Amino acid sequence: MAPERDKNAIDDREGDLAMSRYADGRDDAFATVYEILAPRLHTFLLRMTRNVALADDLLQETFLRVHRARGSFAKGAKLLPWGYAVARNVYIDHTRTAQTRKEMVVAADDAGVTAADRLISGEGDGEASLAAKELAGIVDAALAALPPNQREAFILIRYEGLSVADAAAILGASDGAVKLRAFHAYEALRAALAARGAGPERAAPKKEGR
Amino acid sequence: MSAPPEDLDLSLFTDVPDPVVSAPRPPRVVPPATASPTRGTMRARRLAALGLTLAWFVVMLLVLGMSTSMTMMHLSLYAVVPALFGAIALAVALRSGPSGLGSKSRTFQITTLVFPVLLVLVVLLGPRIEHDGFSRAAFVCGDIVLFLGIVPLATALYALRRFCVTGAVWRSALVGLGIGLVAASVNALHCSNVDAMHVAIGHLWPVPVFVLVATLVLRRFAAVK
Repeated sequence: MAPERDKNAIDDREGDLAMSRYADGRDDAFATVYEILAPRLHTFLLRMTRNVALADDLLQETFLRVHRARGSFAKGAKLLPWGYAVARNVYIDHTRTAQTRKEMVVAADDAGVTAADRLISGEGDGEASLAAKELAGIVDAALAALPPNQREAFILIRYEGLSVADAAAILGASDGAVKLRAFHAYEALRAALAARGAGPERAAPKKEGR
Repeated sequence: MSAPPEDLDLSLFTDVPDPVVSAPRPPRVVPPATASPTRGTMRARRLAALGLTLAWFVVMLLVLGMSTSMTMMHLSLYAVVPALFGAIALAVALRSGPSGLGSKSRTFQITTLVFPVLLVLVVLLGPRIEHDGFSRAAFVCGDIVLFLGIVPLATALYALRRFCVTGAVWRSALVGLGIGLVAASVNALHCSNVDAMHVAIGHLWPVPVFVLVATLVLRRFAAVK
């Protein structure tokens, strides 16, 4: 895991520098920015929308906005939180339109059956693959049922691997609020998994405070 | 709902499996052919806006005239302190922060809400001059503050276009606060009435107006869309 983390850190640093060059008007740096940012934002948008075609469209829009707003990328800024924040804005704007609401309903209706099939790899033996798909389907449905602010906090921290501070900056909330949202999401997901007999074996965290 | 433990271990979250084990490849995105402002352009815009605003204030002071009834105490309380608060509000609004997404949300909120209250208290706790007092002229002074702030607000619309990836509402409110406070400070250099109540109400009532207008209008320009 450590070499993978080191590689990610190098990629992140390289991404920051590439975006900085791009912000200074060096258009040739776009390829590097895209290479580092696109896979992560695409997966993020996929998790948020649960719809591959929609995630593709939103990714296009995200990069258009990245291009338009490149001048606001400050020196020393970090590409990933900045990119995620742009992608999140694109997603939010999209969900606000009446047309989108209709699309979301269709996607959500259809997602319970097919989202896991679309998103999960079919590798491995038949039984294991089937179990993995079933588990993915449970998590996917439980994620979709979460309040949006909890869902995005959990996705950014758990799946996108961002720090609480970066997630808080992206969501425009305090570190404590983001941690709380992610924790509530985690509890709801664990409960959903446990209800389907697929709960994690680890004991629940000890509760303190309020 | 329960609260998270104080020392919440985020690695617990890995208990929940990832539904996206193998995501499809992202679509190829062609770099947009249209030109967009670079960092240098944005910096030049901000400097131009700052220069234009300062020139506007200087010209207006020359046209309106400088007050001659101010002591150093009044100058500090009614002009320097508001200008300082305004400059801090602008700096908080415009700073890029550790990850390039601006200050923490709590900082925005505290600055926007606390600064105006603090300033009114500072002004009111200063020395009172009874002979001028609060008068209807206070509203005229407020009109001048509004007038003084129009150009800075317009230049902000130009200079801060697509500036905020996050926090556009709070950052715009803070820019409005900064503009209002600096305009009030410039007006104090002109106004001959040094009564604390006059300054607290007459010079500062436009500040919430600037905050409101900036929140409603500037944020639409400043947000990355």
